[in-house]
Amino acid sequence: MLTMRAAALGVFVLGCIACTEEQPAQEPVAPEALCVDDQTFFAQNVWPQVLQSKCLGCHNAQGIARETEFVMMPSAQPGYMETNQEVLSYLSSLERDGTSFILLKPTEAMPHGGGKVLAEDSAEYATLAAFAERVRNPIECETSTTAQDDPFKGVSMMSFPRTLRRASLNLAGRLPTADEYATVDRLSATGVELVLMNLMKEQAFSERLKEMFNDILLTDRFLGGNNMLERLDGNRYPAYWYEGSALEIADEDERQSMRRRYRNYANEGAARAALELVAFVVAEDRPFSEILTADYMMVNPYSARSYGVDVGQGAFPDGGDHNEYDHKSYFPVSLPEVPTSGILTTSAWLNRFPTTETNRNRHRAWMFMRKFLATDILRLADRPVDPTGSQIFNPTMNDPQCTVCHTTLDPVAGAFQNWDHNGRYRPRENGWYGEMVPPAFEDDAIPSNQWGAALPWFAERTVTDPRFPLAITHLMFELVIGEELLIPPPDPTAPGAALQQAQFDLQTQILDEVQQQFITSNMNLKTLIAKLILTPYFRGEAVDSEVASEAAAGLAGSPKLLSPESLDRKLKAVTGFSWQPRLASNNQLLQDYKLLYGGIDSDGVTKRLTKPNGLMANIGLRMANEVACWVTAKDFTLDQGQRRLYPHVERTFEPETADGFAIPGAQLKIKENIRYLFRRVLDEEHRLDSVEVERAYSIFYDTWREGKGMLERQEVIPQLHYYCRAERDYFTWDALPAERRITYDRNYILRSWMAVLTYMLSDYRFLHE
Amino acid sequence: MDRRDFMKLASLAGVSLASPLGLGRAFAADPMLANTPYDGLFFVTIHAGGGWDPTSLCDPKGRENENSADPMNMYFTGDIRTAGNIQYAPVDRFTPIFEKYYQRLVVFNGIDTSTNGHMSGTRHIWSGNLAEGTPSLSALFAGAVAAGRPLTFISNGGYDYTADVVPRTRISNVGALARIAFPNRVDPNNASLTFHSQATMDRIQAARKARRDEAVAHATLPKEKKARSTLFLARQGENELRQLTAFLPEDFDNSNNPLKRQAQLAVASYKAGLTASASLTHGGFDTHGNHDATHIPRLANVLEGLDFLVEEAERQGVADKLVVLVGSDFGRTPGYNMNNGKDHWSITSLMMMAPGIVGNRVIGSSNERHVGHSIDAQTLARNDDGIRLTPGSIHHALRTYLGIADHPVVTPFHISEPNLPFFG
Repeated sequence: MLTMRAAALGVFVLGCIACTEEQPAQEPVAPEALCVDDQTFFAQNVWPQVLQSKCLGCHNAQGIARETEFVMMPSAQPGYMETNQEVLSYLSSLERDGTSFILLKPTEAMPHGGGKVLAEDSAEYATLAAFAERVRNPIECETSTTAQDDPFKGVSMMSFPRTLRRASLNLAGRLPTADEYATVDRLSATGVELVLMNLMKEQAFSERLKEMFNDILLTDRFLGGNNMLERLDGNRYPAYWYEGSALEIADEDERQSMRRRYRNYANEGAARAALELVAFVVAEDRPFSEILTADYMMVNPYSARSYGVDVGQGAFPDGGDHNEYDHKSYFPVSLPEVPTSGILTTSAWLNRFPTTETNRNRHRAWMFMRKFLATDILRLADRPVDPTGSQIFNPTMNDPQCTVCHTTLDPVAGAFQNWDHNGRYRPRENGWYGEMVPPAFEDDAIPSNQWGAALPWFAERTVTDPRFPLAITHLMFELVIGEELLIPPPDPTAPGAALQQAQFDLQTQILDEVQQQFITSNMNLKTLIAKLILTPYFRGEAVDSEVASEAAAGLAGSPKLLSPESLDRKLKAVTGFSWQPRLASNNQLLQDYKLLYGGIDSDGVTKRLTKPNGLMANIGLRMANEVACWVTAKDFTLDQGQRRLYPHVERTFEPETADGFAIPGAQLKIKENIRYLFRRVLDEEHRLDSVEVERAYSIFYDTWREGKGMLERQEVIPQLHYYCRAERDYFTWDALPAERRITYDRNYILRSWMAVLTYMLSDYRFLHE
Repeated sequence: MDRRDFMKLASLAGVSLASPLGLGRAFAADPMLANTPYDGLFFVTIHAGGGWDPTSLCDPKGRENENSADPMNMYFTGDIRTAGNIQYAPVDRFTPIFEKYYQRLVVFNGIDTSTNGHMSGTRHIWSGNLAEGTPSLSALFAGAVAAGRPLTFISNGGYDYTADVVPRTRISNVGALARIAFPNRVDPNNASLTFHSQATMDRIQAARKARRDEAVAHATLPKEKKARSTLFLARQGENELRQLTAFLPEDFDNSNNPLKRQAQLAVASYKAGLTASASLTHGGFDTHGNHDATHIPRLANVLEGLDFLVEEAERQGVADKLVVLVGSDFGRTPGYNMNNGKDHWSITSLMMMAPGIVGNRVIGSSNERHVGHSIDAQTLARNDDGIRLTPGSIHHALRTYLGIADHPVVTPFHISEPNLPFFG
């Protein structure tokens, strides 16, 4: 064994990674001053340069070479690097005439099912040869090149109270209470977890969870009309039961109106069955695996009728009072004769990811594997294929360029065999297609006597596979942190590839830990979310570039533009109101501007915009102007102690007398309120004499001075704009009592506060979290 | 804002503002021209989502007679039509379009996308790279020539990955544009009724700038720096969006062809100097069943959408800047499946019109079962010992034509295929 010092590692590794075909990789006989240990050499060279790009497509647990001794784990799985190094080391130790198997096979010097994939003079061959030599003569370095200390050294995390505020807004759309802050002050990280676990019992979290999962499942596409009901199996279920309902109502128009109401409720219940199951499993603290294995379906009283559920089980009865049967109340029911398998057998999921006679459930299988088995089959198709040149009979079973995906995909497609293109349970008369790879989970074929319940059988195995908790961890990372998962660099020689690989490895390390905690908690999704909140992704706040690694600095934190829904919740939490002048009017963020501001409609627009463009920037500005106008006077109609925005001032508080003399008491109160607004709106703490408070005070003061002058010159009127007055109750639109109404702003104080609030609501920190 | 500030913030946002090559009036070497209306080339893509069938369009393959086994299409070979040197499938709705534009049209046939996956095919066609990571050409072009414009890249779907070189813009609610363009007006049509006086707005903006400058100077988290800078750049167009309202048509198209409405918006935004590229999309081409009845009318929609786009550009006086590329994920299998549908096939076509490009040309070809022929790298004629016609080589040439091949925004996204003389 060679032992060397580990100086100048970065230069060496980068030098190797930068090798191109024009500059073939050379055996890295390191100068004594340099050292790369075997583990690092494998991770930085062998894996990205050779195995990932040349071998993994076939040599994986589902691939066509899965029966060989050379089976690797994909990079999505924890511990893949160590495991794959072990496998390759073993194979490398096998030799013929002094040459390692790992050199003989890919050059086809020995029979190789995949043909010749490497030339002897290629850079990849040189890398493998170097690895084989290292297996014979291992190299260890005096100082391990693997960082043993904190990988996020040099990265400062946000305080636990701030972490709590961000998480609370994100998950429940509200600000923390004083008690919750106290818990966090007392217990730090444990306190954050404790508070969040309680917070996640709230209905608001349940709604947020459904919103998050709709980004994945996109089943809200079927909301409205009878978009979902029309896809139910009419031969099995009385989907349109409401057509004959409300007979007790004599007036035809009223009766039809009531029937439309029932239709909407029933349709919503059927469309949201998958999302409601997710919410139910989490609310009940059941293992999250139940979203795939549940042998029941979630219904509301109206969709229950559409599925033929008895009144005794909670379905809405003929002549019932809709006020007594809440369409937002969901409960589980069993559907006779239909093998149910969580969200997978909901009509919404099956129709959102439909199939055809020739697609044969492959689209469903791809989506299933991607979301629940952390396996993106289409990534394998990034390799060029040439179906036009294939003369092979039944290429999806026999042509290697097709089987690379289909060997893995088609057995999963077979698991969906009983569900037709409309998502109806219709077992095929002659069984599954004989010319396809048989339905199976891995090498475990679905027994023929289980074919009628193939999907539940398959789901049971899925949730015990280690890829399932990994997939859910990945899913929740994207939903909670709001970033896409990194992938290893497709081209290890490309600029920046070394950094991308390092960041990918760091991400894998973090998510491995989170995943383990998720598993330990019996797959409680709340635990997974709370653990994600405590990662540097969520909490990273500042970086000391002298200390932090480039990979850690680049990963830390996740400031992101709020989605329309999140911004709406934040507005409500901070100001008390959405961006709408009255409850009965359009919510601007959730309706008029939803798609323009980067939202989705679950149909044609399914991916959120996360970077602001010119339109979105202006929407933010208009929101700030309108909301400041609508809420300022409203807030002043409340007693001082009840106000959300202006608890330290009255609208009579002017900074100066009419003669221009300062009123120190009023000025102090105004600044105190500005400081309060910084805390409430932007989560910032500032001293009264800070630059930030003074800057905001200047806006207030200069606007007030300007306005007073304009009032005196009668260039403006003392009445507020109609839109900015507080004359009616937001919720009921009833007139406010006369003593509470605010119509005038005779001293321009309200408009000065509006300016300050506009300033804050349009700030980066308000629009981002 | 001074030049140095702008450069710094743009750089933090991942935006490069250096001058592209060969675009005389395009935006521009001077970063302050971020506030100058863009009037360079206008790059538009039309994406037929789901995988179109070139053999039913511009690479026609008919059947010899009614007894032909496993026909490619139901029309007869003898009925195939021509406009100049361009052949097309015998569909009446196609004829006026091909007749009108063949002299400006370049058709690429027999393109090998090397995939039959939707995501990878769409990525390959619009980025030139089968592997993940390369932005769409629309995003690269906008990033190279007009990164600072507020709506520089308008996307209606398809492959619109940007790698953060520019933000995407979706415009779904035209009715809201006026209110967005005038954020301080209570009523966008009434300039005198505002939420704040102009002096107050200026005051707020100045305070916001001072606060942002300090925050950017003190921010150490790379992601935060980037997010702050991105918002800053997006706000550069705060007062320019109103220009868009001046060029929007009185009435938007309300037909069932979504391309027309998308085209109206894109052209108006370009005319206003806000946009450099746009992707228009029409879905519904993944016809695994009942192919002819559903697919061919949509192909006609694409051609009519193309025609509408050109006419709209002419109406707005910008047609001489329009570069338009029409394509899809991949092609469809030869012949019909058991449901009278067609499945995925890796060979496809592209159509293009652009100023300075010689039209009435067909580059590349395929055999009677729609297998692509190789071409000679010099003459571009069929050469069975030549090279495959790939999206990468077309993109390589397009980058050169657009004058962005050596732009620092573009060069990190290398294309390995050769740069062929498609455009002279």
